[in-house]
Amino acid sequence: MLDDKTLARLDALALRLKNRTRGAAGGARRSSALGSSAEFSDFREYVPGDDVRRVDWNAYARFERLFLKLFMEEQEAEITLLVDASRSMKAKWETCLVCAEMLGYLALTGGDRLRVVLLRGRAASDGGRFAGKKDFLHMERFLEAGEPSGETDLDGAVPALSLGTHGLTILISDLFSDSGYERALSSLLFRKQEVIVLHVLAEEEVEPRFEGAVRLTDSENARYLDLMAGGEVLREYQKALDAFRKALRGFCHKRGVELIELTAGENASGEMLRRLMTAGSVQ
Amino acid sequence: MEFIQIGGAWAFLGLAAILALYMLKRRFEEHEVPSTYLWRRMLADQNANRPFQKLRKNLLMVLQLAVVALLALALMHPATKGLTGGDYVLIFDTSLSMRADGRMEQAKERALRMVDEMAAGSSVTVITAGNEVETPLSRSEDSVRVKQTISSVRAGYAGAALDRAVSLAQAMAREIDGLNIVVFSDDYEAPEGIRTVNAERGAENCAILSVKLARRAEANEAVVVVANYGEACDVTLEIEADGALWDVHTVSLEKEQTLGVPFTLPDDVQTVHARIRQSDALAEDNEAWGVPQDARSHVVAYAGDKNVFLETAIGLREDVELVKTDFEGLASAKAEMYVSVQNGLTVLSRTGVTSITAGEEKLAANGSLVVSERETLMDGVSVDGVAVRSYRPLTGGRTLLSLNGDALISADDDSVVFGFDLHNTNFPLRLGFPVLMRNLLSEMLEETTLATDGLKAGDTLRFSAASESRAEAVDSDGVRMTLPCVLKKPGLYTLSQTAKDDVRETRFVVGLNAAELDVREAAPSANAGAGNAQRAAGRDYVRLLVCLALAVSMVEWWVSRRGY
Repeated sequence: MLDDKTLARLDALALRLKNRTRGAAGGARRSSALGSSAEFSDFREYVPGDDVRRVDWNAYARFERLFLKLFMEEQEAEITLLVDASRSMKAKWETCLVCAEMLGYLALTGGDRLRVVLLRGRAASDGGRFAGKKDFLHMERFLEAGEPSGETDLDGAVPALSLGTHGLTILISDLFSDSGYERALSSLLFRKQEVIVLHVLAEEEVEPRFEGAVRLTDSENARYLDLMAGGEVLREYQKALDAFRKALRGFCHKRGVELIELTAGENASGEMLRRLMTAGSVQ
Repeated sequence: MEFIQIGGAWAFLGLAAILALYMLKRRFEEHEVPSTYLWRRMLADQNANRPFQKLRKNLLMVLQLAVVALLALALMHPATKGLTGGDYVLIFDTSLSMRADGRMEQAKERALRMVDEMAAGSSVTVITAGNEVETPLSRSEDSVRVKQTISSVRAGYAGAALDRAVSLAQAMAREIDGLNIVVFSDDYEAPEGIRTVNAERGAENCAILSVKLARRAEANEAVVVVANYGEACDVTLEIEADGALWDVHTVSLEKEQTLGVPFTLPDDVQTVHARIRQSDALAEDNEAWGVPQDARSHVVAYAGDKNVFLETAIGLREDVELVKTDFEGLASAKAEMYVSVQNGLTVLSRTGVTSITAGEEKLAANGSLVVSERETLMDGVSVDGVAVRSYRPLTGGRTLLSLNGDALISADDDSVVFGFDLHNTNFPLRLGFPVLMRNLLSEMLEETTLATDGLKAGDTLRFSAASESRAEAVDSDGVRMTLPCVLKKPGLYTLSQTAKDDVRETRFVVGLNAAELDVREAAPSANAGAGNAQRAAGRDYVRLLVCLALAVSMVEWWVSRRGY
């Protein structure tokens, strides 16, 4: 699904975690844990309790302030891609796949371990772990083999996942779940995951254009609603959408969750990268 | 209220149609959406915020039912009766006094309002009562035509034959049940059962009653008679002589005073026009005309044997000029009557010829003379004691006097012939002879004397002229009228008489009826409840219902646009 041009562009980018990773295996990601690596990383000011052997006296001579040299040990991060594969995602599945594959590629080329999980209702279809660029095709096949089905139940599925502590979890979903999303996201945060949410909506969900007497059937559960779609009704829908987004933004902002709102379409993946770069999650 | 078009009730079937539409399964356009999550939240918010939201679905149905019901009612044409639906006769007083102070316009406005209040289907007859009674519109249900007819009613210059108009309407009322008769006038008291709509307001007025001209040896003089129908006032009189302003005079009139104002005129004045400069309630009586009255003489040409009795009898009329001539001169004389006496026959003719012939032989007159009593020429003519020596029997014409079946005096349309010598009879010595001559002269000589203060607007001008002459009157606007004719307007007229090749023109004046000039009195309206009249104004509700239906349909459109 990703063409060579896109892959070449992604080669120049890397996922950046805001929180320093603490992975077990060696990887390309820089860890803040001090190790035997000779690579100088950075200075920081001395605080009482630090190892005085790490004080950089040259910096003291220059600035008359105490600074510690920091050396970085290269370690890999665990990145988890949670892709909502419920039936409601079918309308934006292609966008989700593209975004997931791009993020997965970034993770794999960045030396990170990647885990891809497809969520369907309370069930999770684990694609296993992938590492290295060589596993990109396997990841891609796994994603593209997935068929959206079932209902959305993030609050039921996500907390049940076994995730390690620390790492990056990227959730790609429309978040339209009767059980909500708060518990799912909170469970990720509780497990010290850095969370990025890609809130993907279809064009018709952002700006519906119905007229007259319509029966709207839910793709997940075949429930339907009969409406007289007029100007007032559509305005009320927009209000409901705005309220949902506002609540989501508020929730994410308070908890330091990076929220990227996307409308499915050709430009969605580009918009995703741009927003991630703006947020500093991709560089 | 009644429903004039009850058949419009079929439109209520539309209610059943709308109910059926709502009861039948509604067709919804199916759409599969990724998730109805937000739609459900939206509806939940709506229901929470608006307790009557659920009613919106029913509200549209109710509104649509209301539109259909209103339209169906409109089609049934509901209306309440005002003065009553039914038949009306509207009688308009078109006398001169209705020109005063906008009375006719007020009357027409009231009549038009009355027509508006009539229930649809009412029939209206319009009668105008001027000098003559006319019916310009009879039993019309077309309100547009009725209004046009009312609007075209005009006040005249004469009186009003209201009693005749009311009698006509009452005759109609005997034929038509429930006929409502309404009289629009300014001062009419109608009989019981007839409604009057009077002007209810009087006005003061000054009028010129007449202009009399007199030719005197020292100067010509005009006397303008002015009447004041109101409080004391000053009026300024302008006098024009033959179209040019000649004199102006201001006079003070006491309350209700009539005054003759003299003016000296130039020599040989032909027409005088007098005008009041000030405006008042009735403008039509603020001007009048006067023409000099000439003595008119009739020329009678006489040829033949001298007959003192005949000549004397003819000369008894002061306006007759007897011109004696010979037979040659008789033929060429321009006279109104020709008298020839020869061979024992006396012929009096308007044209100089006669169709009556006389026998050649003279017969002895033995027997009793018999007068034809059917002949108006013989009215008052007695032949008692009249003896005739001999006669020549007449043939042709009508017999006026006979003897033993023979006609002794005969007449046709233009001549009278005596079949006996007047010298050989004692008839001229009897009273019957001058009476007969008077009758003959009256019949055969044209009446041309017209009094300038005698003719009023509305009078019929009749003129007896010889059979070969023609007479017509021309008014001040140049309108020509063949006699007899009704003089509709006041003003200066010209009578044109054509006899043989002779055209004679006489000017005469037509004035106004003084009874119409005092417009101070105006009776109140009466008998408002007469006939079948009801006090409530009738109303037609079609327009109201259609407007309501439009308003409700706009609300229905707005509600449906909002959606639910």
